[in-house]
Amino acid sequence: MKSQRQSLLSVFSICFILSLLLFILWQKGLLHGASTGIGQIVAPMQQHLVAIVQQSRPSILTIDKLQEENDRLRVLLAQKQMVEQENQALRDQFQTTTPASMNLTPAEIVGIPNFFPGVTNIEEFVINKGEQDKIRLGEAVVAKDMLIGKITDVTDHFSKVTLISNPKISFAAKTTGTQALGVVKGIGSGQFIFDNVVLSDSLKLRDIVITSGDVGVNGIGLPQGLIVGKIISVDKNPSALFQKASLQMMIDVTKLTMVFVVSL
Amino acid sequence: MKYILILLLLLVFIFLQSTLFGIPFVVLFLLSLVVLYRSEVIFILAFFAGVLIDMLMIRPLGETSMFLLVYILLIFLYEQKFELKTLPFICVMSFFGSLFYFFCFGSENIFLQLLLSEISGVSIFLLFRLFERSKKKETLS
Repeated sequence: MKSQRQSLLSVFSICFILSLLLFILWQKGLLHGASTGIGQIVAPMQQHLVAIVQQSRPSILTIDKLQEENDRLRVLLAQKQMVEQENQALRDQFQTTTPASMNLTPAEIVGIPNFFPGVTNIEEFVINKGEQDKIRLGEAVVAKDMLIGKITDVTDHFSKVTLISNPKISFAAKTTGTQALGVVKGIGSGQFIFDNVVLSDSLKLRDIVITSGDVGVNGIGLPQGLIVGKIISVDKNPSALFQKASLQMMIDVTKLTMVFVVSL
Repeated sequence: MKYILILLLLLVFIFLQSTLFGIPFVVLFLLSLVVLYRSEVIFILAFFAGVLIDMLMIRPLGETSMFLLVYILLIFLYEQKFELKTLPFICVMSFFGSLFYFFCFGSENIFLQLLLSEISGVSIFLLFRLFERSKKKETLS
């Protein structure tokens, strides 16, 4: 009995020390390419499984279709407003400059960890593009011109995308209608808010919120003008310092199988 | 044959856990293995399963392995205090195992997830026990 316990403890100790060693090496950045081989073998199977689950979701009701169409039209309107504002700015300066072009890298979703359909919301997912495809930490991930999330972890061939509804994510944004500036913050459970808006600015229901741009000198960050979501409720208290609004994403993330990484 | 089946099942659970479902299938599967087989080889399985999960979920390597190893060690430590091959023990251990997993690696809607984990844990255990019993009957006959 005693010898069995000793052998148990020795096997445990060896495995634990090995795990600790791997953990330390990973933290030092020496093992970031380790997931490449196994990841590449499993990625096609993961891709198929994700696609099967996305397709097996119940078909959308007519009201949902109308809602989707409505949202699409709102996006078009917001884009038109942005173009108008840009034209106005160019006219004001009497010069024309080409807006910085964006390179979009298509990537397929190969894993949605910690997601149980109907029980939990998607907070992050794994895509099949990594450092070797020039994906960098902090880059924006979009689908149909709409901001989905940010790259928060990169290995050689895979990257982790954290959605904007994740509490770890926050960035500056503005509304297209009233140009109110604020900060978009994820609050979990698939929800996010537009916070820190001064009381003198006006927030309108169904107004579209876009990124105000936070690209650094290294060219990494969220470019200006990506659609974040629409305002579904406004919380304005005269005694508070700021007002805030609840936002809704205008795309169903659970149905996505492909996204685009924005590189400047 | 039995070992191949265990390995295959482990791989399937790793794949499911890392690709889609938030339920810690590997934790529940290893719990049933420890309770029914009580072998130190399970530590080695837990180590490799943890490394695979970390690779597929792009987590720091070794993180899940350490969790699984400590969890299995705890079950072994309770070996002399409780009767392990019982449903109440499986329920309690799968509850705490899943709870700590969600706590360590983050999850939302924990209550519902715990309920699903509990059901999965008990189902895996019952399936294994059924398999073991049928094997015993075969050898006896």
